[in-house]
Amino acid sequence: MTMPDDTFPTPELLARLAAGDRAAFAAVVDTWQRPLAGFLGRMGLPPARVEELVQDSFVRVWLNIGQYRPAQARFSTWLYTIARRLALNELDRAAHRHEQAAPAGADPDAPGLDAACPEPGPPGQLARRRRQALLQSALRRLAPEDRSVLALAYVQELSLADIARIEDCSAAAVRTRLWRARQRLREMLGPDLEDDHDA
Amino acid sequence: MTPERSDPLDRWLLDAAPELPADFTARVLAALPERPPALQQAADAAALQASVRTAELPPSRWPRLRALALAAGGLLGLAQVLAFLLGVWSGTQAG
Repeated sequence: MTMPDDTFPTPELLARLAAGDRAAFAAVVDTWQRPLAGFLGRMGLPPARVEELVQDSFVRVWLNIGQYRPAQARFSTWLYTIARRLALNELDRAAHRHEQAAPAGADPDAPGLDAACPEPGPPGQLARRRRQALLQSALRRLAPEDRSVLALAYVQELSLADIARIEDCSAAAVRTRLWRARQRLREMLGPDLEDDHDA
Repeated sequence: MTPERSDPLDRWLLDAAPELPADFTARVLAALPERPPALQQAADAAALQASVRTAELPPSRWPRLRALALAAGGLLGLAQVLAFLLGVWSGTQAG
């Protein structure tokens, strides 16, 4: 699996993609599947939905590659714009479902700590699952827009300007939203983060 | 945008990616539509253009009707001019 960089995909690869070359597309999927899963995981989506949305994002890329203009945006910016839109739509739908189905305050999609640890495993693995369950629960309490900025900020290949472009706001607004989201997370995860720091 | 591994929050967020199955790429490729995107988009563009043409262009019988209406209007106009000239001639003859 290669890491994405500024030169990927090359113009030759883009031409092959536009021509419907599946082998070329496999290289794109190989390169971006893990960063995309990380982004969608930080959006607070359950793992099964993350997998589906990564796949949906790639299908959209395949169908719309003819509309991508390298002169206007980097490929990664375009890709994350697609994934972000799908994620926000999914969060909207999930919120609507919960409003209709769940009692106030409950979050049916939020896995409890027991659900995060379905089977015993090595202590490190259990600790990681516990951390992930706590983080997911905290992420779901952030506003979707703040969550989106936070999730994009940890994508290695995106600059502040890229994030501002994806979010369609100024770089200053990105900084503010990122700071706010991180503060909220620190407040929610406080003692557990401290424990992790001590460990 | 430089997360630090020494910050527990950064470390938690960087580790947030769920594991994807080993055959994920194959699954994505299997889920792709059969037609290459370039062909699909060309087909979509052609369909769109065809629909626009259908909306703009009249059916084939309209040009004939238009020609008939034009001819009828022309004949009517010519008859009016002739009637006017006849009226002028009659007037001058009577005077």
